[in-house]
Amino acid sequence: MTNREQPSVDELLAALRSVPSDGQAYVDSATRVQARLAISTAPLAVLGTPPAASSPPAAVSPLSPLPAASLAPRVASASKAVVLAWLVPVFAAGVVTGLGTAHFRAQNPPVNERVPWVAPRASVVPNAVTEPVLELEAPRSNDSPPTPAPRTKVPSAASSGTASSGTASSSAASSSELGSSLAAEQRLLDTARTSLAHGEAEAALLPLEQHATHFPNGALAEEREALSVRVLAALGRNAEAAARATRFMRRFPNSLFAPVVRSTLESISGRNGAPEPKP
Amino acid sequence: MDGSGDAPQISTSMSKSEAVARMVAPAPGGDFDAIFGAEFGYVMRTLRFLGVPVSDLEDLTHDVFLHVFRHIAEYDPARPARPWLFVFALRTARDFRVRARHRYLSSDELPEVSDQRSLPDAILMRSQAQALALRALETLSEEERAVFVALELDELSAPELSERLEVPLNTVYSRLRRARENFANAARRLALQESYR
Repeated sequence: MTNREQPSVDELLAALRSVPSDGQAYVDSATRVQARLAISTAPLAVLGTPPAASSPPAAVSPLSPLPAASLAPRVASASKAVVLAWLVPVFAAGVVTGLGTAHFRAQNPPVNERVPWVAPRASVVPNAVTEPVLELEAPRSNDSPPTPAPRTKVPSAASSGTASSGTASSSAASSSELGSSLAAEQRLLDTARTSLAHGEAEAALLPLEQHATHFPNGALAEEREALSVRVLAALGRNAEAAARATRFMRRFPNSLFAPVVRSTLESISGRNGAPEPKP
Repeated sequence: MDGSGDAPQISTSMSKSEAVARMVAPAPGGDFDAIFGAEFGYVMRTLRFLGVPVSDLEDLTHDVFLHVFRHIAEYDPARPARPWLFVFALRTARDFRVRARHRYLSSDELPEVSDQRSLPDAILMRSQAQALALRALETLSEEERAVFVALELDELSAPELSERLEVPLNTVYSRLRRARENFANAARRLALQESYR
């Protein structure tokens, strides 16, 4: 305290109570969190047990009774955009591999509906890609693109709101099982790193792709990009690796991973002289 | 809406538009969007009070609402949302602390936070009194803090908290009493430290 007066306990409590508890004060955070929720709840909502199926989809649930309702529309549109932007790459990837998510799920008994979209470590390891909890099938051919489908902007036809179907029932959703999204990020990158270390660079593509789709700006995005460079280089896709490395250096100039990326780049040019032109 | 939202079960014929329709269909229990819109700030603030560092606030608020989303059918709209949410926040904060224990062994000091993502730091730490009070909160034990935050700051009732936490009412009161003492002592000590810095 700058003054010599010590605040009383009551004053301190008043100070804490004055910390805003309305969404308005945290609108940026709310938007970000809502966008992430749209991602983390979407698979369950699409593929989980449908709610009381007879009730008609009562028009549009009014998004929120916020006092000054400005948070609501903003959040709604953010979530809508993200939900759809999320769906597009997933479905697109499904088409590419001939195994659309919904289709794939539909063919499998919905035993694992409650499983979080990131499979537990054991089921993400390469060779287990047919595990039904995985959202994407591994690329079968070498020419399928390693990078995620571009996050296309979708003209929004759907009405408001995030996913909110009734997935609550039994709930295997103990927090430890859920883990934080950081844990989910970590798992994906661990899988990729392990694959690469075992000389299975091809298998590393899928988790990297999933990470890029679900956490484009996640806490571990930097690590993902660095790892992607190494994986592409290991696959001999030198032009892509070099391009990715360049982007990496621009985006994370002071990265801890910069030396790794740089040496990868050097090993490529050492091998080929110059990055090969894209086929 | 295309009106086809009454598609039964997960059928092989579920089209993409049906999938999207289902995602925006209303929930049977509580209205998740309404709760999110109305109580986002409350959850974030409560997590902060419960000791979650600012840098992890958004992550954990996300986690809380993910739980809420999954349990939304259990919500009774006739009762106030905050006590219900408080329990989710409490569990999430506790799990976080277990996971992060190695990072925050010395609890006397709030971790340094770099405010690169325009986190609500500025809002939460607007006054020195707030900063001091938060640091005093940090010194409470987990149990004391939970009771203190719920009863002193969130205006939950002791019987309600006792019921929600499944802790005897007397225990709630004794924790509150200890928490008040410790909070007052910590605040005094911290204020002294500050003034001689």
